[in-house]
Amino acid sequence: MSQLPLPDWFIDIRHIQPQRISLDLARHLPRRASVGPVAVIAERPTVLLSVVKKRWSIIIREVQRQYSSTLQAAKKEGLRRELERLRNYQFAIASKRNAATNILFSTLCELQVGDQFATIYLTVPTTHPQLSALMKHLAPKGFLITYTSWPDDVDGIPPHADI
Amino acid sequence: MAVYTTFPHDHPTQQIKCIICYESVPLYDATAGSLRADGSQAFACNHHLQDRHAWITAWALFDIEQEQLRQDSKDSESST
Repeated sequence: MSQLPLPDWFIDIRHIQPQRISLDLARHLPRRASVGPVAVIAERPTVLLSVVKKRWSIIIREVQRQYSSTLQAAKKEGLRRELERLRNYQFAIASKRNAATNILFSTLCELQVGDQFATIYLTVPTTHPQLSALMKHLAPKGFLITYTSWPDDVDGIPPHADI
Repeated sequence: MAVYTTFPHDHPTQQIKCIICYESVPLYDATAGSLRADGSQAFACNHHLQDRHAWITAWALFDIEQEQLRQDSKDSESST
């Protein structure tokens, strides 16, 4: 197995039915939130935040259930810390963000100059200029996870259908 | 789902090791998780995301192992 090269960023193109995006997001977010600040770009951030928070509660209950039913010490400790993390992450929409916000739900135009995220989830179609502007907010080695079609005119990145 | 890297331009055949089943899979069949103790990116097979129980448990265990490795590394640095 070859070693991964150090990338500028990772780009993950996810082909998921629109109604399953919040489910995928809620399952995937905990992993990426532990890496650094996360932005979720949506057309209606308040609505998506509300749905993801409901799913988040379900995940917390699932982790609690697993925690209660396991006897293995290492696994139990891992799940305890997972629970702690899940409960402590701070979600916010752009107008209510503060220094403690870990997971920001925002439109494209609400991002602030200097915002840097370890992960950006993109749920709205973008033009090439919008995507270029968005990438300025992605930290080195960060992940752009897109649920939408990819602009075909981005140099160096093939259309998703080719692979 | 597919993971691309922008430098070097795409490695569709790049293999990664899944932290859940330990199988070697192409990068485009993987999804990113948290970081290893050495700061490198860890991945799991895409299909594990569908199994909520395995997904949660495996990553919780992985994270605590990596945290322990980080701590061990700090301890050995401070003792030298």
